[in-house]
Amino acid sequence: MRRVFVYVLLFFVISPAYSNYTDGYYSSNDSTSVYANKKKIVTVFDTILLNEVVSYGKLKKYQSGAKIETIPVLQFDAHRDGSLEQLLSRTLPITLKSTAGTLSTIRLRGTSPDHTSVNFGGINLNSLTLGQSNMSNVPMYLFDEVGVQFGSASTVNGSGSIGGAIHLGLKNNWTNGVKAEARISHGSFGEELYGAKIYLGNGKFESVTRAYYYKKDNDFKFTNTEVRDFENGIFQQEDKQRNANIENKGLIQEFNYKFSDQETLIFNLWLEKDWHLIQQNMQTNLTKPDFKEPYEDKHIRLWTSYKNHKRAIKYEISGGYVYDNGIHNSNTDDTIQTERIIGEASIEHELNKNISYKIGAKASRIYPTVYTYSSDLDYEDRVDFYASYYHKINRKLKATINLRQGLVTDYSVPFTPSLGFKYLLFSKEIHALSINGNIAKSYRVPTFNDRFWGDQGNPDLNPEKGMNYELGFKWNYSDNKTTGHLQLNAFYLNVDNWILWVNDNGWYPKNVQEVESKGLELMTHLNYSLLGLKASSGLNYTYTSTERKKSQTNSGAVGRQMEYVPLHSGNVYSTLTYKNTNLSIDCKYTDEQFTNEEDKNILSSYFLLNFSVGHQFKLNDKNRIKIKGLVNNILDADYQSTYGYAMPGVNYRLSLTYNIN
Amino acid sequence: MKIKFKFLAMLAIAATLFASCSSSDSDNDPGVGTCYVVNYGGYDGAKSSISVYDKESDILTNDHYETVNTVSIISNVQYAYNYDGNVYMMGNNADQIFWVDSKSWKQTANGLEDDIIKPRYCVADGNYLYVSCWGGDIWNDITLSYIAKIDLDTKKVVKKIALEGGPEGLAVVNGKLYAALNYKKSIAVIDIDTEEISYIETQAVSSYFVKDNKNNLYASQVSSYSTPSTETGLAYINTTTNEYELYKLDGISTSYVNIMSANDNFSKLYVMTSAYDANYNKSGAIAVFDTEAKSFAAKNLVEGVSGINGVGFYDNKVCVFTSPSTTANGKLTAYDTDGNLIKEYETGISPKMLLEIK
Repeated sequence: MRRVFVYVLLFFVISPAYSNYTDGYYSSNDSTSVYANKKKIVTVFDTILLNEVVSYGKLKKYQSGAKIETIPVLQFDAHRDGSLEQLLSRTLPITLKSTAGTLSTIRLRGTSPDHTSVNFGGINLNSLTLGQSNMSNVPMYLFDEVGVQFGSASTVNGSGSIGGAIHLGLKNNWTNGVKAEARISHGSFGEELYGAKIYLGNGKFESVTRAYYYKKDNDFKFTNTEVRDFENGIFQQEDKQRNANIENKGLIQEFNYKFSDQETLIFNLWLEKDWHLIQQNMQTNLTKPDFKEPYEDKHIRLWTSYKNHKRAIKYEISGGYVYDNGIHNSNTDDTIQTERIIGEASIEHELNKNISYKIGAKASRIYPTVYTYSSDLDYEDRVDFYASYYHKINRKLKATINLRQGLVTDYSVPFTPSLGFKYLLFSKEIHALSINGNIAKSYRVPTFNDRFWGDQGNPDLNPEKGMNYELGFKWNYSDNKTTGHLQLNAFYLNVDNWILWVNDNGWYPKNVQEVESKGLELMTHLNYSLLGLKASSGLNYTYTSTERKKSQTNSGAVGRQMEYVPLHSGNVYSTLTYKNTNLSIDCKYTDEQFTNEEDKNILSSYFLLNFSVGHQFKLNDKNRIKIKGLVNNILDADYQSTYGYAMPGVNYRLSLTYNIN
Repeated sequence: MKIKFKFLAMLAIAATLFASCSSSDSDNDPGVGTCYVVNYGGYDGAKSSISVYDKESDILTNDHYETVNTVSIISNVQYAYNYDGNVYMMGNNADQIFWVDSKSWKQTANGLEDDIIKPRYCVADGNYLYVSCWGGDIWNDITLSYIAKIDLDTKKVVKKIALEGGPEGLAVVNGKLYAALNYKKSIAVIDIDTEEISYIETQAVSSYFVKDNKNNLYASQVSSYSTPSTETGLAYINTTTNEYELYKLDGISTSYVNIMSANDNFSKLYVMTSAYDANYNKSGAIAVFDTEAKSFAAKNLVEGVSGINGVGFYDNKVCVFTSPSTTANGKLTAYDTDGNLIKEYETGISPKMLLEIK
């Protein structure tokens, strides 16, 4: 399997080198955009050119040495019908531990799922009770863009961004008139998606409504290896996944007002209701075919922000409300619910063209209502003060400093600074090489469950603390025919006081272990022409060595690769476009993974190959229809992402999108 | 996975070939008085495994069932019971009762799944095996539980005796089936012939029995989340009169595993406890109950045991099981009867009980 992966990888790497370039213009999605047709390189030191999406510009400006990636538009578009899990696992060198669409958790740079924050505006979506997000429940149809910060991001996002942060983005289009989109998608195993977007506006005021409905029966066939028919000597058989249905629906309503280019007001409301039957492992699927375990999530997420950049001192005032409710097994008596009210204010001052700073504060009051928590726990307050400093020291060097201090009711939070730089090693007519570095402290406040669950929670747990070191090189290339970049990052991440629930005659959370993660990430993206076709290809590879250095428990796995962190993983993608038709192929390799601290029950490595083709019909100036077909896991690989849980083999999806204006 | 299965299948074929060359099953017979460790495993990942202790070489070998049968156990074994040449295992998640030959540990028949919901514990009487079953989410509805009566010839459930309150430990004395109830402050007494049920009222819920050499019972009395109590410790049930007497002990383990074990002559009962220390760390201990004096020793046999998960007695040693998590190997630590550490052995995940097959 590794050999196949290497061949495919080589093909993708070599093919552009033999291609015939034609005139073409591609804009990079990265802020280090390169404008080849102008024969001029606009490098990392120039203006941030992103639309007003999720303020990646700001994120990048004040974290010059951090690695922040935006998923290329073509790749993003290919996964609009799916979840964040499908998007991330197929486009970036990120490992996720997943079942077949019902639960997926991220392992960014070898860290745990609650070490990566998922952000919508100023809201961290991670559950305050569990500390993590289910990536299968974040629908890509509702969003315009996704950015990922690799490595510690606590100085910007606060608690819980030890391994990194994900930002879900909405574009402000400032629509003048009416635009609309309707989308229908059907796929294997009863998968259906219905979506609609309506944009109304007069150039100043804009209303954007996005809604979707998704369902999947998830009744795929697989080889069940947990059969124990001793009487007939049968230990595996064809089986069908049962009771893993999914039904999600959501709506985002935006009201945006542009007083001027420098003064805007946005209002985003996201309503989400996700229901699924928790996928059972192979044994239960076989022995309890009627067993159903429903889980329902309800969320209300509201974020509004007023931004005034008219004067030298720019300011921004934001507020939000979040309601999260989870119902397990239809048991509404055992309430698991939290509510948050958030307020944030910041000012940014550009002292001159080369120096600016930003200071702000973010406060939230959290009301947990969980059946096992003490009734004395009414609410918790959290306040974060932060300051960021940006200095473009000369044409080649810029540096940033970030400071953050959090305050939590009855809890001590560490001070988290970060320091980063970006240096242009050289810049020629068609290419440029830069080096970036970053040192950042990070932390995670234990979840509410960790601190307050029944008589097991421990309010005296220490926060988890992380230290992140990053060094990277980025080579940008651009001529009239080709644009692209190659990026190599090395990282070292140390997480201490890592909290685990351990058995002490009952289950209790403890600061148990120290984990060290180090590795290399190679990312490339290239836009080029091949035999007269526009092409876009990329290769991502990551080497992640994550080990327990210390453990307070009797762990036999100290010094060994951590569970569910593959040492090697990578993916390759390529899209060819001819006029209104595009054809894409992508593949992903995931190395074998330990699943527990024993040296057995190891997940085999696997290789997934996917293919898609799409065509856009232009009916007239205002109306377009796009048809897209996608085949996943073409090789019908039999694999597992979570030990003991079946994953689907070859499957398809067909989508039809109608755009007006 | 396919590759793994093929590999295991080849191993199975190879094992069969080698087995056919041997004169008997004696290769798999570890000998009389052999001791096994039942490792509960992880609830979501790797399931139960069995470790075997070779007294002669003083070595504990893991994955014994897998080695013999070439496939792994696909259930979490709550309790294992040796009876009439078979070891019966109460597996939950997936729910099934399966059995192996008590000498070879070979499984040749399929497990029993029908009418078995969340099996906990079992005891045999004549040709019947009585299994305590929770019957579902007992913490939501205590009426779900029952006793499954299994015909050991047909290996089928022939009767479900409704018994509310979440039966756990079982014992048969004088034609009566005693059931420790974990969700009700009482011990059920079922007449095996008439199936009439009476109750002995208790001051706390119970989870586990140990029968002494006079056929009287010691029952753990624990304070649980759903049924808290301050009157915890050991209950002594005189099975002639069904009188109840409590010997108080704070911090007796609420665990469902083997929390009590007696020495060979039943003069001492070793009882698992746990409590918070001054630093808010929970640590386990083994309390010693003198069955003649009917009192607990002032000093615990061992203390400060992190991740305590069960206790057993074998070869004049007190075996304490510890388990840090459901994903890591556990440990069997052997102590002499004075509490001196003898040796530590690595077990499978979450070791919980010792099974001696004599």
